[in-house]
Amino acid sequence: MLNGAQVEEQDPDRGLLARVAAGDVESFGVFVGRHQERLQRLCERMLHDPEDARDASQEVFLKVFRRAGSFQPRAKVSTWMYRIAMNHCLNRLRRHKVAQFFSLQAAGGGSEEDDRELDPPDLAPDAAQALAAREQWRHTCELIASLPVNQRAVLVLAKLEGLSYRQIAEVLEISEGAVESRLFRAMRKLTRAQEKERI
Amino acid sequence: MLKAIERLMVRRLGGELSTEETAELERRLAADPEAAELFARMQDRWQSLGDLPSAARPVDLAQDLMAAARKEGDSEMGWSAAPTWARACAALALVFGSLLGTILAGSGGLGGDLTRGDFDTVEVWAEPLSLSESFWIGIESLDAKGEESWEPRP
Repeated sequence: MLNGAQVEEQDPDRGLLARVAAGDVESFGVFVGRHQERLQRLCERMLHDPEDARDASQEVFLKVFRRAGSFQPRAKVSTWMYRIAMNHCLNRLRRHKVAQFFSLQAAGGGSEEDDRELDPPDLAPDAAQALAAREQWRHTCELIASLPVNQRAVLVLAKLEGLSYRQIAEVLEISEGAVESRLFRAMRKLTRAQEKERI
Repeated sequence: MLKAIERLMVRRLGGELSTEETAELERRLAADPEAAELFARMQDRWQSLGDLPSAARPVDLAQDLMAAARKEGDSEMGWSAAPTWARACAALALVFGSLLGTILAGSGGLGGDLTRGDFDTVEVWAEPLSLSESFWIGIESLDAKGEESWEPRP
C-alpha cells in the first residue's frame, strides 16, 4: 500500500488534481501551466490548425476541471488527460468532417488563408533553410492529416508525444495489438506516399 | 491482424522490443529482403517525423482558464456539477414522488378526510408578522376551533 508521499512521487499530478477536485482554482492554474504546452502541441498535431488547437486545449482543460472529482487513480493523471484530449479532438474532427461534407466550399482546394494557418514559425535564421524547413513541415503535416483519424491518433501519440504502446492503448481504450496494427498501417501509408514522391 | 514480422517491425520503431525480439527481427529481415527494404524505408520516415516542429508557439492559457473556472465554481454548484449517478437518482426520486402523489390523490389517501372548507379560514396579512405574533394568533385560532368543536350540535 502506498502512502500519500509515495503516490505524489509516482505521479506528482495526483495531489494537484485532488486540490483541483476540491475547487482550488490556484491549483488548476498550476496544472494548466504544467501541461498547456504539451496539450496545445498534441491538439495542434491532431487538428492540423493552431487556432482550433488552442480552442480545443481550453475546452479540454475545462473538462479536466469539471471532471477532476471523477478521476480514477488506476491510471496516471497525464494518461487520463490525454484520453480526454484525444476523445475531444476525435469528436471535433468528426464534427468537422460532417460539416465539410455539407459545405460547398469543401469541394474547392485550400485557400490562401488555409495556407497561412499552416505556416510554421521561422526557426532557422537562414532564409533558405527556413524555406526548406517550412516546406518539409507543410508536407509532413499534410501527410499526417491525410491519414484516417484513428491511425493519426496512434501515430501522434507514439512518435510525436513519445508515449509507449501500452500508454496509447490506455489513452485510446484499445488493445496494444490494435495500437500496433494502426501504427503499422499508418507507417506503411506514409512510406508508400514517399515512394510515390520519388517516382 | 499483423504478421509476426510486421508486429516486430512496428514494435522496433517505437523502441518496444527486447534484446531477444530484436535478434529475432534481424534474423527474419535477413531472410526476407523485401521486408528488409520496407523496414528501412519505414525507419527513414519515422526519423523524419521526429523533426516536426510545432506550428505555433503555445499561448499562456492559465489566466483565462482560471477566470473561467472561478466563474463555473460560482455558478455551477447545481446539478450539472453532480455525478451522473446522483442526477439519475434525483430524476428517479422525482418520478417516484410524482407517481406516489398522483396515486394518493386518486385514492383519497392521506388527504382524504380534508374538505375545501378546511382551507377557507386562511387569512392573508398585509404586513409580515413577527414570530411571537404569529405564535399567539395560531394559539387563538386553535382555541377558537376547539371551542367550536365542543359546541353542542343543534
